[in-house]
Amino acid sequence: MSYDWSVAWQYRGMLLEGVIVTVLLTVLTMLIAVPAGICVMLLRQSRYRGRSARPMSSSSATFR
Amino acid sequence: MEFDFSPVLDNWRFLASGLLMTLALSAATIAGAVVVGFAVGLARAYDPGWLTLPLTFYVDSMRAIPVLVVLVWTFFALPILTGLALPSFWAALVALTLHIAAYVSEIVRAGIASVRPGQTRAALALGMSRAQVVRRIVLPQAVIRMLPAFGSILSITIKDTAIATVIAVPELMRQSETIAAQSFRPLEVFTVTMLIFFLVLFPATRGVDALYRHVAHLGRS
Repeated sequence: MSYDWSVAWQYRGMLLEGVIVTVLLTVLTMLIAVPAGICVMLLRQSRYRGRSARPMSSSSATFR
Repeated sequence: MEFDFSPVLDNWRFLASGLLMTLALSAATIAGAVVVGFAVGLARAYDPGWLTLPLTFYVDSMRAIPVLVVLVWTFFALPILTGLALPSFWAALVALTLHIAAYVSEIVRAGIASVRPGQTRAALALGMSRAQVVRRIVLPQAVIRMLPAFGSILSITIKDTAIATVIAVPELMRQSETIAAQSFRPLEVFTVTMLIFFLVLFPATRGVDALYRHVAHLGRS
């Protein structure tokens, strides 16, 4: 069986574009997810057990 | 805006077969991953020397490669490399098991490391063999401590089976896509799919949490 690795080099531009989009998506996701996660954590840690506490705790369990 | 759930109701058997496939793939993956994960985790915790390097390479590479890439590679590239063409279900099972087992092995290793070394030394001083120490002292406590992490792995596994749709495993997501494409009702169909996943996963994760609360005291020392 012979392999032709030149396709990877031939389409290097497209692959590089993919890498850039992956990195961009990762950075943007973390920029939004980390502060949002900290906010949810603060709300769940809150001593005030209002009506909002329950749905918040179950929604974060949903996305775990 | 009008909603029409009739495509879902008319095809409920088709969807149910997808759910069964999702559950079967999840159960098989969990079983395989626990077996492989325990073997790898134990081998890495009780390092026999030459195994460390390949096992560390395996775990680190699985943590660094997306499960989708492993899945697509197993289905499309492995047959060219080995001549072994796996049916889609088996390709998904192999790829998901390889991926999840790496995470299970890390949980097992952490669980074992969490049991104080003084206990191992005391058991050895009492004349127990190394195998006895692992079986009777370390693992009974470590397994309890691993439970919350296993709960997360369980939910991750069930969710990851949806990725198998890309190689046409007829699981819940694949069946939903088919119904949505045929009925032009993606909103209703995919909403029901979300709901089904929720109804499966929410009790599963909460169940593991409840089980842990009941047995957590057995892991303390």
